[in-house]
Amino acid sequence: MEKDVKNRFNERKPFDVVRAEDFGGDLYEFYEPLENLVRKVTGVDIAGSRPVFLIGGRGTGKTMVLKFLSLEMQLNDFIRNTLCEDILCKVELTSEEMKEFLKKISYIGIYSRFRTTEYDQFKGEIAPLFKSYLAIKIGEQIFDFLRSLKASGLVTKKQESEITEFFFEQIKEPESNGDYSFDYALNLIRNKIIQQFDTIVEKSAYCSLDEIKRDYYIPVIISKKVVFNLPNLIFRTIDALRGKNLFILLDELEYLNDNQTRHIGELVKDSDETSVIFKIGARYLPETIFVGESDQVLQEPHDFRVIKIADSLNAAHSGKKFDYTRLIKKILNKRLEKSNYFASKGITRIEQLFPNQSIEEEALLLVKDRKKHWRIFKNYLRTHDKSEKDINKIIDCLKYPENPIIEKLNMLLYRRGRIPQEIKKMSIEFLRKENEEYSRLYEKNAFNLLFQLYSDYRSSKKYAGIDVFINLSSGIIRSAIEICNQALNKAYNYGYEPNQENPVEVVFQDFGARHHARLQFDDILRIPNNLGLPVQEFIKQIGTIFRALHKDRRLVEPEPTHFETDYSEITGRAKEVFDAAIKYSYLQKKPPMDPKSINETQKNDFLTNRVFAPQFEISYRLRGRTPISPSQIDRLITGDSVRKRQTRREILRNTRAKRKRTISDSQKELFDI
Amino acid sequence: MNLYENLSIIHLEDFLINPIEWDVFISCGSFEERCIRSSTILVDKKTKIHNSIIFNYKESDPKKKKEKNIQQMKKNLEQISGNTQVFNTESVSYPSKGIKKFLTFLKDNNICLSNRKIAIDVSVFTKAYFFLLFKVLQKKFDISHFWIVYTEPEKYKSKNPETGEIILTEGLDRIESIPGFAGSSVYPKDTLIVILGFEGKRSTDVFYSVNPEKTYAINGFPSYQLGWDKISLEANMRFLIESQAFDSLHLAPAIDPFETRKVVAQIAKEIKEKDQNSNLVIAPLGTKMQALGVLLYALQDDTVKVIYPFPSIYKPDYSYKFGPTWIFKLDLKRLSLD
Repeated sequence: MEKDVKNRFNERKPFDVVRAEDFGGDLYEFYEPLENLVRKVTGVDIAGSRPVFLIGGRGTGKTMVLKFLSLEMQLNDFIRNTLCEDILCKVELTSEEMKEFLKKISYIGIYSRFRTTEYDQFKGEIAPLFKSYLAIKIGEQIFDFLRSLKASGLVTKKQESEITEFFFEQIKEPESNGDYSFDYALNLIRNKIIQQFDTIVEKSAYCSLDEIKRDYYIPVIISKKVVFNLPNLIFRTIDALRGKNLFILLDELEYLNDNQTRHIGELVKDSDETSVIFKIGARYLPETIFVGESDQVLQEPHDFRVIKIADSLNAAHSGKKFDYTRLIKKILNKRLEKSNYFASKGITRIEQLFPNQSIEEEALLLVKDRKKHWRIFKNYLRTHDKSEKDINKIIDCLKYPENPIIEKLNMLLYRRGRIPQEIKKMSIEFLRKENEEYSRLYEKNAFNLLFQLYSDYRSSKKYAGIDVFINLSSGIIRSAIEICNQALNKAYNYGYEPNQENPVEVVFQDFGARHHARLQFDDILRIPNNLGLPVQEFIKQIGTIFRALHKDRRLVEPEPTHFETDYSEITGRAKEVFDAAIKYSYLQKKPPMDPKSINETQKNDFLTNRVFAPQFEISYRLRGRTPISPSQIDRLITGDSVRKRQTRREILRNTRAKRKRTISDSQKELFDI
Repeated sequence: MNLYENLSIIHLEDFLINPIEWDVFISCGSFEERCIRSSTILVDKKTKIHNSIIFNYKESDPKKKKEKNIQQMKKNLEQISGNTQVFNTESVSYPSKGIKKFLTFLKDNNICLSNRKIAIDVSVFTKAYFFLLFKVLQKKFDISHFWIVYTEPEKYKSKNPETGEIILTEGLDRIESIPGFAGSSVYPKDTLIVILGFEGKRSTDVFYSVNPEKTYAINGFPSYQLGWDKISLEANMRFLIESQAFDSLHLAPAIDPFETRKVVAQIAKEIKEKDQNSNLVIAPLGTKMQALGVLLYALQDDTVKVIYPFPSIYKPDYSYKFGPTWIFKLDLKRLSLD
């Protein structure tokens, strides 16, 4: 192991390293396995005997999950727990140690990525060679493992010959020279066959296949025998591996084209009742996975199981579940604990750096005994023909300087037609915990009222506190780590010295969240096939609508962060863009809410990824629902700027009108009572 | 003025003081005004050419800007060439198709390139196209001597009004290895070298797409114009931080392909010494001349993979007017002995 994360780990910046590629063998020390949490939420066992498609965007942790299943990681875990705490102290195992290790595991996991730059050239005339190339790359990893097994003395010469001879038969290799060793097989794969493929790929850029065939040898490989029969033979032949399975861990399926994905579908289908189990990571799940060139498609759950990581982690974060929060804090705390710098400052918990703040504390900090929110309210009263005397009387009933949120709620109730004396009575009872209705209204509206308060003081909402960061991360682990990193780096730039009594200032925490939101917003442009720009524009339109609704003083809908629409009615270009937004998790599907009346059809609910909340200055919580019709979606996506603006106004107008109707209904009810 | 192979880069006007005759002059037309510049100079200096070929990409041209430029190039070259042809190639996004079509075009028109004196104006060729074109000339026609002509833009036009970032392209179609430069994938790990350009987003795209173990960056210094090196550093700040390439930042002159080649070779040597089990991936996102430097290295080392983020849209008003026109001579055989 020539490089490990310890070389890259910066004691002062423990959240700096985020990619799975940067961890090497130290994954356990800096990360947390997601296996148990995902099983708890989805009921699917990642390490079970079924093929699994693991779906998640960049930073969701799918590579981590796959790497945790790999032989390398299992071996490191075994060495750390059984033999030596520092995995770097021991690389090769003795025969007994290897036997003990193999007893503890039920599968051998080989991990590889469909690298964008590796498989992309198997197209046109040489496209059919992909199957052979993939098989030979799998074969390479198998022989690499066999070689280390042999080094531990667990393979006899006879077993080695039998396995290698079988392999040579499948690759039609005429030049074995009687050498049936794992070393020879590996050497042949690396120095001859793969290089031969490289040459063919290079020539295919400017030569026809016939020309290539004329001048070069094209490797012939019976791919299925290498992928399935070779592992079967190995698990049958070598005693220490008897009864085990081979996990073929393939990451980044999204880089394969349709024909290549069809081949993966075929392999998954054919893996049934073999010792080979596929675990496949992908940024998104293809709509259908065909089985080879047939019309047959893989069926879930019969042929495979799907785990959507971000959705699973979001589910572990919904309602009163705190599993996701705990997981993220555990990962962040691990890094703090690893840092001698922070340990020397007495900081081992993430809350010490990014303490959580209540809504009330935040409101008080913002208002700081100022009266601007009252001035705005007074102006409102004046426009409603109230005398100064009446105004003072009303304000006397509504004010409560110890908690500006209560004052804002009282103002809202007044705007909604409640009598000042009644509001005063309700709020006093609420403070004594004796008014359920007020309590419910407070709970429902407090967060949005805080946004209004920020608007009154012409200040931007501050996104601070570790729980807020975790909320913003929207099921994407890396986002939470990156926000912490950005916030800490910004604080350092301004001379921050961490210690137990000195958390990172709110302004720097807020910067971290906003900066990360901006980067994520920019990243939308990375969506390939010319869809980046329209998806970014669409997200911007939705964010702008939510932002306007957040500013609405009547609180049409508290914290509008999701919208409902009839997805099946979206068509054409709008559907293409809408689907891409979902595919790349910039738009997330929310479990549908029940229709409010029997006349309503059940619609789909969508929210923009919460990570964008600071970009649009909206809430990161999942509360208010705004209806947007499919035709409005179409106009927001395909319309010109004037049409888009008109559509936004139309949506806002309709939502406000709906609120007015609701209020007049509720007033009627109140009157009836 | 003497033109030392693989060394001197001089103004085309100065070079043409002594008359020269080329068998084939290959150039490319585009929306950019600078594509005409070399043909204008060649006419002024009365250079003799047997065959002139103008590549015409299959891209839409609503304002007829490209068509107008190509007509002007053709008009110029017809004055000094025995035979001038516009070769309608494929889209900029599909260099392999385009170059295969070019080989058929040569055959159909009985144009032989072997043992000929060939000059190529690379000014507005997209990088992927001229990489593959050179590969074909080297591998198919065994050509190792070329004259290369390049006209700088006076300035780049499009800027993001919010950030001031220069935008030359929009969106991302795909990130792929340049056809013919897929290199070797024998090792499971990749090391990435990015030649920095003005569009920082593209280096970040490349970085996350390759997911390398280690990343190096090369910035163009001295730059074409004072301060452009700083613009590219600022534009690439996110990439440099997230890839940790700041710790491995190298410099190479923006105008000099030979120096760029040397810097790439030096980094490649360092990588091979440090970690032999790593594929080398290079993304030439900087100037055309630096890309040429990468090409010169990649033509000598078949294991190198050259990748490119193919954009959705090339901005039609990419550059403004034209700067100086340069010429230099390549001898690939001698280069391999360096």
